[in-house]
Amino acid sequence: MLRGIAILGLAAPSFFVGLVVVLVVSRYFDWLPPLGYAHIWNEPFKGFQQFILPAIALGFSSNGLLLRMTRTQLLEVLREDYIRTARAKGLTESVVIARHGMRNAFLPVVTVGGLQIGGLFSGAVVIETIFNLPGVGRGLIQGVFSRDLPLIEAYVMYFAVVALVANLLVDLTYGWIDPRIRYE
Amino acid sequence: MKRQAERTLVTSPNSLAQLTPARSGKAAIRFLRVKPLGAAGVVIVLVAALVALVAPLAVPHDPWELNSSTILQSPNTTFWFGTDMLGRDILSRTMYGARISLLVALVSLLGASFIGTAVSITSAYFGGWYDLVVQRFVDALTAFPSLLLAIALMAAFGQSLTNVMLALAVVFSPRITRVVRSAALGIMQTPYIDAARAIGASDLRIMVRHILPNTLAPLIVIATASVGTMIIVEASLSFLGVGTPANVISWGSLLSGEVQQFFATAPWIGLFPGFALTLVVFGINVFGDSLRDVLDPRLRGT
Repeated sequence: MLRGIAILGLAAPSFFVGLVVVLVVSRYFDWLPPLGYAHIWNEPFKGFQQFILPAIALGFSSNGLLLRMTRTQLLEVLREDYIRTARAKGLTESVVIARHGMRNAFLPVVTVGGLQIGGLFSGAVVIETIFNLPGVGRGLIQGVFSRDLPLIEAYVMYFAVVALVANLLVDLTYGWIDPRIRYE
Repeated sequence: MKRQAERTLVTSPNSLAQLTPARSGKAAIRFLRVKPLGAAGVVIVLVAALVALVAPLAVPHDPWELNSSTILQSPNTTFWFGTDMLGRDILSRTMYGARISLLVALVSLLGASFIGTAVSITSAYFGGWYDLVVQRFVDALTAFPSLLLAIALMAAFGQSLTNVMLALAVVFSPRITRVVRSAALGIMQTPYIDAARAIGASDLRIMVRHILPNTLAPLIVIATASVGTMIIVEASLSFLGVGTPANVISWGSLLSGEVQQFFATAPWIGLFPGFALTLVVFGINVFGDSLRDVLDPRLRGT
């Protein structure tokens, strides 16, 4: 069931997910995010409310890949001898999975998560359009409509740099997750 | 006997080039048995392709026809998927949308594969500074998120259907280049390339006849894995209004612009095209996954 949702998350384009999330929430919960942008520092509560739905919509698609990745990795790790040892020591199943399983399965998941940051920006362009948030994605689209090429170049460059820095940070977390990895 | 030995040397066991019709028929049946989900994906894609092909003959209503008397009707027996805010039939529009989505996907896939293989095989074959320069260029292109690069290219090219395909081909060729180059590098090390050189085959002949057929398996895997994303990127471009021009019906544009204002009161105008899009991408993804499992021996059995 969860895997089904995950595969769907991979297939559903973010704009469709965004529209459906708004539809479901407004129909069944009778609630809409407040109109008009409120900066999260000025009005924390209103600002937070505004970000719930976009965050769910945006997270839906990357959740699919991460879920699949974590699942296959964890399945692989749980076959290892040290998992049997940990169980034999009498540790509870949750400790076995959290301390011995997840820690070893996490490396590829973090890699994929880092690669997803670029994809998240792509999604942000779409989601900001749907929810009318004045972010960088919206700025890019407005740049396209006004055919402002230098502006577009700057935005795309900015996205690429942030994605690269994110990947660098991911590389650096390897050493923290797995102390065997050392950088010279 | 000697010929036989030559043959087995030239074609690796994993090569698709040696599939005869009878063998591929058997392979298809095996695929169906081993990977039922993948087969379901094939069926979804085939149905979508069929709908796209026959859409002009099969649509129940003219997808462009405005009709003020049938505005925003919920799904009923005349309009199976309902009508939009201008009285146009959603079913017909969704069927026409399949044409654009699949056409764009097919053409950009061929384009990306062509650019990708040409660049990667020459790059692996000649090596040296050429390889270095080309690969840094590929690295630079892969640093940009795909949708954003596509948006930037569309802004530079201007809006048209051809430019969408061109932009997608450029955006997706680097990943194909990466995969095919690494496969080609492996093949470069095999004895039959040396043998081909020794009998005096030209560079072009070695690349086209010996390297290219053996990179087909990884090429097909990465290509099917990319098609789903391609369709989504195309739909996203059209949704944002920077992709196909407004008069072209695509699944992305069916959900864009003023449609969003009516979506809360008349959800069917967006739900059906959105579901169609999701279903086709889902079909392609599961098919690609199972194809990878079958073609990639390292993953066999997982």
